[in-house]
Amino acid sequence: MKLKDKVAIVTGAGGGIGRAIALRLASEGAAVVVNDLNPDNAARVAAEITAAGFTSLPFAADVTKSAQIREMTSAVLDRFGRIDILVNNAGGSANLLGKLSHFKDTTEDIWKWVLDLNLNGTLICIHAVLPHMTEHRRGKIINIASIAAEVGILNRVDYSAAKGAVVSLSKALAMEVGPHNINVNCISPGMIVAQPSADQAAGTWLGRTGKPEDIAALTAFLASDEASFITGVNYTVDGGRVLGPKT
Amino acid sequence: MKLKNQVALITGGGGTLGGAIARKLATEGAKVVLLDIRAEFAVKNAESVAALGGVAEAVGLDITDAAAVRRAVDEVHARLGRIDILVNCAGGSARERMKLFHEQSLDVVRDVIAINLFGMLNCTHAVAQHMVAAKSGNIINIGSAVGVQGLVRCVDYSAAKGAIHSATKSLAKELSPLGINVNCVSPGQIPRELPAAPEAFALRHSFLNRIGTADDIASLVGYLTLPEASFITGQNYIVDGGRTLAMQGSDTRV
Repeated sequence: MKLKDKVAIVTGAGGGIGRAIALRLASEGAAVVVNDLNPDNAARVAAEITAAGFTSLPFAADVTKSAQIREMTSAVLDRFGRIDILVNNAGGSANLLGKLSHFKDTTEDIWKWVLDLNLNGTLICIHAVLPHMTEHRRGKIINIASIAAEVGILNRVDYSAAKGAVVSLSKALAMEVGPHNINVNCISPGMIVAQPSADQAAGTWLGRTGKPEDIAALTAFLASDEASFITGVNYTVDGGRVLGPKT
Repeated sequence: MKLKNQVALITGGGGTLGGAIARKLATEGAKVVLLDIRAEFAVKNAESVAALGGVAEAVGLDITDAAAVRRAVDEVHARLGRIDILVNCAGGSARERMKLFHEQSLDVVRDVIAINLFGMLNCTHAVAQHMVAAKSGNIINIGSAVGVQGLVRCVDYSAAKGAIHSATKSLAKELSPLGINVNCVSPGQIPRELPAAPEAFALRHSFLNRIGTADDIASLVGYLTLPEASFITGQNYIVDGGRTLAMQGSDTRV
């Protein structure tokens, strides 16, 4: 129980990696605010946490809408009185719209949507919790970036740009808020899929793709007091995929 | 107790960092073997592990002697039946003999590279044979923020640590398909003794208001040895309180 009495907000926690992070932080003792755009998914994951005997609060909100996120922050403070951990997990590529393409074939509305979700969404959530964290001189901000930030991914120029920006903003922010005892770090997952194809598994040096739990475990570590000297870093968890070609 | 029944070898096991790592792994249930050229320091750290209820032993060993390393590793493996974890922690700069490279004796340079780089290679070579046979293992190398950014009067040390970062990636490519994870942890400024003005030291060497400790490094090393970290390989994770974020020539804390 490394996170006893802590309060965590996990964005995009209605499924996948966000859900695993929410479950893991709750199992370490944190009260977890399960944020998701989709109210049903937020409620379902929050109910899973409660059923396991831990504390959770579902909150449907769009990370790209600052009014909604400020409302969420107020609701969390009303309910729990504190915010210790923010995990910015909400994000995704144009694949969510079924609109992946080479950049020359994309349109401005698509890349603005991708940047808004991944970059502005992260900035909006951070900005909403910082007054509380700086006032109380404690906080852990963990941004889920992507190996796209380091190596880029074909058909995802916009997503690669947004995730690169998330890594860079984390470094600058770490310097600003470090003196306030707030740690800011990134985790860059590689390919995290439940049912990988043979090709996908062959793309790592471990012969497997990642599970959401692989990311959740490191998130819990970085959120804990044990990791309090770690700030401004980007830790890749990818089975060695970004190490590059096999031959 | 996530490392129950596992055997961990820690080089530099007589040092401050080696001792902290030993205690961390032992609290997860691992049996730790502390290797150090200064056997008496390794014994002292082994005693600190035992005081916490852990199991530890000390072995005197010069890691620059490849034949001696192989004998010691094979002996430990024969006696304990397995080696699950290797932490290559032995090393250090030339310390009081640090000099600008063009004024430095090449004998010192060779020594620094022998201890840091060849020490790590010798130990990894001897241990990897057993891990490959077992199709399982976890190797953690201690790198350095100096290996990432360089440092004046540390050409030899930064060269060795940078080489360790690169070797970590190549070793991960060779060994990960065989069931062995290889990673590196790079500390920032971790003083061996509490400095006279701790706050000023912290402000100068990090963006946090406190000094980094051996336990800060041991925590991450401990995490990387756990089964839940098994998707991590070939990485160099920095733990430095933000030291490597700083730029020269501007007031970074305004």
